[in-house]
Amino acid sequence: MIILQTDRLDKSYGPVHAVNHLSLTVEQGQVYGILGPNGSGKTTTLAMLMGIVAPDSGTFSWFGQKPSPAVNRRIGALIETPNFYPYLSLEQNLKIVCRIKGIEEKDIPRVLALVGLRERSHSRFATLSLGMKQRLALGSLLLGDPDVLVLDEPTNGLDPEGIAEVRNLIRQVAGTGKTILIASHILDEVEKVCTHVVVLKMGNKLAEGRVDGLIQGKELVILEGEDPEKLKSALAESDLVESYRQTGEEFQIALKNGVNNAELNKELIGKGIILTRMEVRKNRLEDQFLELVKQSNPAGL
Amino acid sequence: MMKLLRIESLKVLPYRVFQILGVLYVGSFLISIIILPNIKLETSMTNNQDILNFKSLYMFPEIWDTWAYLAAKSNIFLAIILIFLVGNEFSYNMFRQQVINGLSRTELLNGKLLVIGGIALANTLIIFVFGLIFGFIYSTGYTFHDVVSHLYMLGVYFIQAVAQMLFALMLAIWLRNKTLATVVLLLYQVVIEMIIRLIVNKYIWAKLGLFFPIRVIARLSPLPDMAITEFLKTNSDLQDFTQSLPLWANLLLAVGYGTIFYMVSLGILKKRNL
Repeated sequence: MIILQTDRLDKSYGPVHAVNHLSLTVEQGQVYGILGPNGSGKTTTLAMLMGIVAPDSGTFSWFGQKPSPAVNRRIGALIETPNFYPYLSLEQNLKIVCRIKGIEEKDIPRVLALVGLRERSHSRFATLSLGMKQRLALGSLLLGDPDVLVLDEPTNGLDPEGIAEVRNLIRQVAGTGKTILIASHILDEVEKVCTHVVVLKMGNKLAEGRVDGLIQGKELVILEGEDPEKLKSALAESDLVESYRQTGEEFQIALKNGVNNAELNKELIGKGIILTRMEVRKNRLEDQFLELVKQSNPAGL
Repeated sequence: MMKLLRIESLKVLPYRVFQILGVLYVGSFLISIIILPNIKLETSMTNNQDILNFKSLYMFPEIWDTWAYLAAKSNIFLAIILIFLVGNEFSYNMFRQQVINGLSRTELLNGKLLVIGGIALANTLIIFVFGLIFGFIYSTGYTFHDVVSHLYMLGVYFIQAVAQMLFALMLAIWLRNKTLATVVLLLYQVVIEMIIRLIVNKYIWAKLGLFFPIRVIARLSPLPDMAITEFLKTNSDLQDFTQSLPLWANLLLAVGYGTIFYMVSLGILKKRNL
């Protein structure tokens, strides 16, 4: 079942093209990551999907329905910062959410316990630490046990322990068959919790697909030899090679599962073939991931 | 509607600024109505008569006119409370969050409309209860007709308070900032509109100023008949302060202005990214 479908969603802020004709499909049970550096249009996309920013053009549907407040009530969403009334207690704040969504107030202790804030239920929101605020926001969107969660940088501002907790929580929730849409600029995070991913950069979709297929895809080995003809026939005979393609003197080789480039090298040496170049090129998407992450984290990883 | 009412009461009632301003507002009103009957103001211009003669204004049926007038004098307090309540929604990003959670933008605004109605109703009730008490204390020889004949002024006061707060609502939604909206409200109500009125009165039509929103709203509770009113009315320099459209015309215009303020607020809120 399709949970979310967007059709050429487009949004500009003045000269900045925040989201460029973005089309996505999210199916039930997927943990769908939107990966991209800061300013790539992740938050704008989610803001459009939740009705707080109007798209310039394009359409989207949730559960096959047009966007509406009733649709939003079926979704637990956290976009950017956790927003609550600072002068109200956690419980009072969650009561308001319950009223809006038509959820029984008796669900409040359950979610507060789930995010470890049960003892703080009578504290004012303003007295919480950043990590606790983030956890409260997560608790708030779990109220009423919605089938779909929308999370925007859910581990932002958390300490390593908090990050681990939140990721565990997401995996735990995902394990119950819920659909989760999660925006992040951290490759590691997407890799750890998502099943599917779309990569955005400057509002453009660079790639999308299954996380395991895209990130852990086969490596490409690039070879050049002193004698291309001899190299070609050796590759054609080799049991290690799944396929190869020749471009000029350069061969791009996909190895069979479980084979590494050293084994291939050994075999070629055994046949007396001298290589002038051997390069392992990672999957194209991972290159993009790294490039994106580099941009959002100039110090490098 | 009940849902919005409960949501708003959860937000508004525990809000400290609301509590303090509310107590100050009601307190200052009560203190002024307790003190006023005991003030004697004597000036040479009226041959040392008690020109204010407040005591007579505490009798049925005039008490309702006086009190509506006195209460309306501090309606600007209500406008500022409202600006704070709406400004909070913006500064805490709560309009945004509530739309994410599943309220429509119309519901956001109607919630505030309920707050406005609630505050106006509470005030009207306070005036009614204390008006009855003071009326019975100060009136002598009244009939049932005396007690109720000017009671309609409380209804007029209610509309006045609502219109005043709708104006504040529009400013708060337009400007999205408590401080800025408060300053603009005060400047417009106290200075800007009066200057515009004086200009249009002089150059376009002497009565045009009477149709301006703040003038219309203020004139819903006319200056009670006192000696000083007569004095003001005879002084042509003060015409802008004393002239007035008939009450029914002011009422119609106030309802019209209130509707415009609401529609403009809704238009802004619907169009804007939150």
